[in-house]
Amino acid sequence: MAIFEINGGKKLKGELIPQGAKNEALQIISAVLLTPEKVTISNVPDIVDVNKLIDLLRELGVKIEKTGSEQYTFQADEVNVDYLNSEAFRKKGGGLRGSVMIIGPMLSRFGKGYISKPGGDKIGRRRLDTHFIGFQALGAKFIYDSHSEFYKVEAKNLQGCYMLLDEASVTGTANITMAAVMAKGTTTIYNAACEPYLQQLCKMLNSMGAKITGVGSNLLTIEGVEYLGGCSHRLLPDMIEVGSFIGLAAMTQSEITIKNVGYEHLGIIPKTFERLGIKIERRGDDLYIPEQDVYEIDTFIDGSILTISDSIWPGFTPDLLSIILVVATQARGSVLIHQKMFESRLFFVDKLIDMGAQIILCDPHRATIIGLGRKQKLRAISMASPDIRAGVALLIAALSAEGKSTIFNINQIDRGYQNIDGRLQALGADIVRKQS
Amino acid sequence: MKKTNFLLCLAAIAIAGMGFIRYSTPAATIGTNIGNQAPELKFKSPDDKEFALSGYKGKLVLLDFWASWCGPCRMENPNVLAAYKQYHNAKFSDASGFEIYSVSLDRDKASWKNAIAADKLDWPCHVSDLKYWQSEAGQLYGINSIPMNFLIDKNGIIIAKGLRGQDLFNELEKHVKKN
Repeated sequence: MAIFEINGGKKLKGELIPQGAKNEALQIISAVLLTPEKVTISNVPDIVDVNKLIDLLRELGVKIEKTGSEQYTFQADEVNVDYLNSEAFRKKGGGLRGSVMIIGPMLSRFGKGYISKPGGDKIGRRRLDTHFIGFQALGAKFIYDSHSEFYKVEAKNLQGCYMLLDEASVTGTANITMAAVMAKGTTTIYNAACEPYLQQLCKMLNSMGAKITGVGSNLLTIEGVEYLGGCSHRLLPDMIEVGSFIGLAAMTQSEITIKNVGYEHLGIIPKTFERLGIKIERRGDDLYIPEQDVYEIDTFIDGSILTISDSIWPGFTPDLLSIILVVATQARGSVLIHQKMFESRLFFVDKLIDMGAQIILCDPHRATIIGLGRKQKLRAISMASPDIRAGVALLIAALSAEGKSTIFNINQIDRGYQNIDGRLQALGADIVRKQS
Repeated sequence: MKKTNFLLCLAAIAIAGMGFIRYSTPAATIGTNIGNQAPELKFKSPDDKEFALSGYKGKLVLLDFWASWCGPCRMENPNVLAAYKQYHNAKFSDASGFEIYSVSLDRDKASWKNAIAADKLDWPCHVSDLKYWQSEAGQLYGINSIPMNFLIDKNGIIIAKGLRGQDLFNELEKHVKKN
């Protein structure tokens, strides 16, 4: 198993280019199943979760060609629908959360979508009810085969309808939208997710000939069409990477320019880091983070302690709370981190406490951080990465810590961040990938 | 009773008047949704001629985003060309003509020119800043997927978008002057 060895405490300097957005990639790549024509996707990140999904499509019979660095052409004109019944599919699909995204397009075009119980982060249960309730509303039959642990949806004809989602799930909205684009009649999805990557999917589907309005709001109207054609699509930069890099710069007192961030799609992210006292300068579509000795956490207007919590878009993404938390350990001041959307994502703080951070873990959802204000550095330790986001948070902590840290289980980091060690080395970081 | 009627009448006129004032000066917000004022574009053609989107005011304009390297766009081009041929000289009930403003997301001038010639896209307005996906026009219109088009009315208001295949003809047909 691979590990990272990090000699921390060094200031970094240079430019970072964010990769294409992973969460957008999983939906967009699944959408190629909606047309027999060629679809070209560029800015595709070279990360495990995305590559696994591309592999899965190849097994399904989609013709895939790598037409450039980070660019692929897909053509789903000879899809092997029977593959869904195979043992190979059950094994492959189970190891990949993103595989749930193929159900909507498969159902839409071929009348059936199967998935074995999905894998993914160990960050609490993630239900798929929203997806399946939506498919059922469109007229699909839902079957759970408890023996093989397969979720199956089948339908001869999908019929548009009005639905109110039980939660504004991003993947759920995406999946239902892809199922509805070729349904008969009009589908209205209320309480739809509206974040940028879903907007991207809707824009792509519209480019393919779909009729979706209300994009960017929580009320999507989808007028069913008979056929979708090909298109060329470019993925947005990954906002989670952008946020992680802001945190990295602040924590390691480095001067870093983050290139082509797609600023208008970052929402509240830059502001939230600014509340920790981090200086961020927008230069065109780049973000410039100057070298900062100290940053001081804002308080609320009445002087009470700042709380940063996650919520659905346009609120602050849960995927960056662990980064905020780590960055706060070296800030001047205190902050309460409230992780509302997932449980057990905060358990990694025990490693930060081992490193010398002052944190009170209040309960599975809340942690209070009392910033060290650079009075002392974090200490290097050996640790395992529990999930993808905590993994990067710990990596940032290790880069700022005095001495040599070792991070185990780094495949969790590789799942979401492309060549992270190589990119950090280019900034002057002392990080080495080794086999243990 | 008569007095009340008179007052009611007066009130009705006043309200109608206010409505008239409000709606007679439409201040559509600039944006890329249907009903928005289309953001202005001013870019150069392969032979360095500058074209402004606002230069076509009074006419129906199809703002078309494409690229020579985009296969699906090239497949859509014959459809766009057919629409141009059919409607360029048509009489419209609410516009003085039909033009196409083509923005290419190319990065190589030669391939762009070759594609225009090969696909016989023989309308005058072809522009590009040769910045590929970073195309300024594309960024302004939030373009991350092509082909994509916007139909703009004589006042510069977006009235439809994403018109592919027959949809383009159906939409244009709505504006043709009926005898």
